[in-house]
Amino acid sequence: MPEHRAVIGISTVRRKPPRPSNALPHLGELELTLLKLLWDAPEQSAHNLQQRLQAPQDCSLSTVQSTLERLHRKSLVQRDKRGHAYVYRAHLGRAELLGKLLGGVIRQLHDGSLEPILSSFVDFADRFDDDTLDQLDALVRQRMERREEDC
Amino acid sequence: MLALLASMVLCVVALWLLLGAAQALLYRWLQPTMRAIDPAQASVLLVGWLALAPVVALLTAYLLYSPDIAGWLVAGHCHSGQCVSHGPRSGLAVAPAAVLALWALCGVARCLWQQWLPVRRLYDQLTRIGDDRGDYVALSSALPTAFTLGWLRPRIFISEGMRAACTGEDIDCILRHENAHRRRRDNLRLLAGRILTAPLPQRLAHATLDDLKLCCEKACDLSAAAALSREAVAAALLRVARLQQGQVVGLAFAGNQTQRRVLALLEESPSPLAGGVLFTVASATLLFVLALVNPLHRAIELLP
Repeated sequence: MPEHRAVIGISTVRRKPPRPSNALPHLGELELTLLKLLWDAPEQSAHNLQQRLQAPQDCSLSTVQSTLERLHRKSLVQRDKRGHAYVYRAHLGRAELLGKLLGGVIRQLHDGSLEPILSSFVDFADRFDDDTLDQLDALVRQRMERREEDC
Repeated sequence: MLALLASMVLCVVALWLLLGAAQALLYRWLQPTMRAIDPAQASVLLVGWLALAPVVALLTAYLLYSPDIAGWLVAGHCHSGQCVSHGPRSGLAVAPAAVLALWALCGVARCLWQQWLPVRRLYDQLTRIGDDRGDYVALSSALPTAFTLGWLRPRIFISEGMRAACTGEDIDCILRHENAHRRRRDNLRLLAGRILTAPLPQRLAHATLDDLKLCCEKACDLSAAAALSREAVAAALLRVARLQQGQVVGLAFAGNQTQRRVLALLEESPSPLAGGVLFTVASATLLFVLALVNPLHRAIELLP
């Protein structure tokens, strides 16, 4: 057994994870397209948004209105009534939505409620303490110094 | 006809479950070897190991129910004066075959539901919201993350938070590591591993699946280290680990694969398993299957 394996004891801490599910926030294709349009130009009516949709996503005004209604229920857009029509604006910015999405996935991967579905550079389910990281850093530095001396 | 079909299904599923459970118990003896050999080879061998139970089950059923072959492998005997080559059948097999087949199908369906749907949703959403930079998709989020997502056409995703917090050399290392995942289709490999063990209780297959993931990560680390250096990859791993530390509080499920990966990078290069050993294992498996046919034929016919 190499010496450094003895220096840093590897221990695995596992508690029973929650039952896995496939529950992830879901945004459909049209919902995402409308959000992107609102990020590019805030404060738009459903009619304006429908006119800005390009093929193959162009659809009827009622489809756009029902999609905006869904986004409003999910608290992703806000709306104000101006005259006879609602004017919509994104409630969350692109970075905020991504942060929420990624944060949710990481949390679920962490607590085991989501099966591991991606290969991350450093596993989201890994846990470290500062001492372990410091010892590993010291080992890497030693190796780097030894390599430089050899060169 | 129903009795024959049910006997066949019972044979396949029961063998898959029994061999899978036996393999899970035997894996503790195989584990040190798998951890000591070249990780790229180990990841292939581990998928082969996980596929062994269903493949042996299917092959055995084929040999049992293929009259031309069974004639060579099963000792001659007659039923009600008829002495032709035949597949074993039992009227009692219908109910257990239905239960076991349903169990196996539910296991596979559950696995696909838990894997396929979240990946499809996340992949669609991130590629649409993110900014395609060719090699990778940039995510405008402050969370420091870098990962590969997708089965058949995997893509690399790197957040702005990661790019801002890492040096150019670290990002180069991350991209090389994630590109290796993409090239090797590691996500698909891990999905295959989970599907092959889906009908088994997950606790049984946990150690093998964990090692498969670790081998994939180690293989990608070595791929990145071939262009940079082992120490540079280890240092990048530790820097990213510190960045991700504290992102989520109240952990219930914690592993230590990164620690093992860093230590593996500081050790000597592992050597691949010799071809002779692999040939011996494959030959022994084939002999095992051939030896299984006659007793299994008798066992099925002994059912009332």
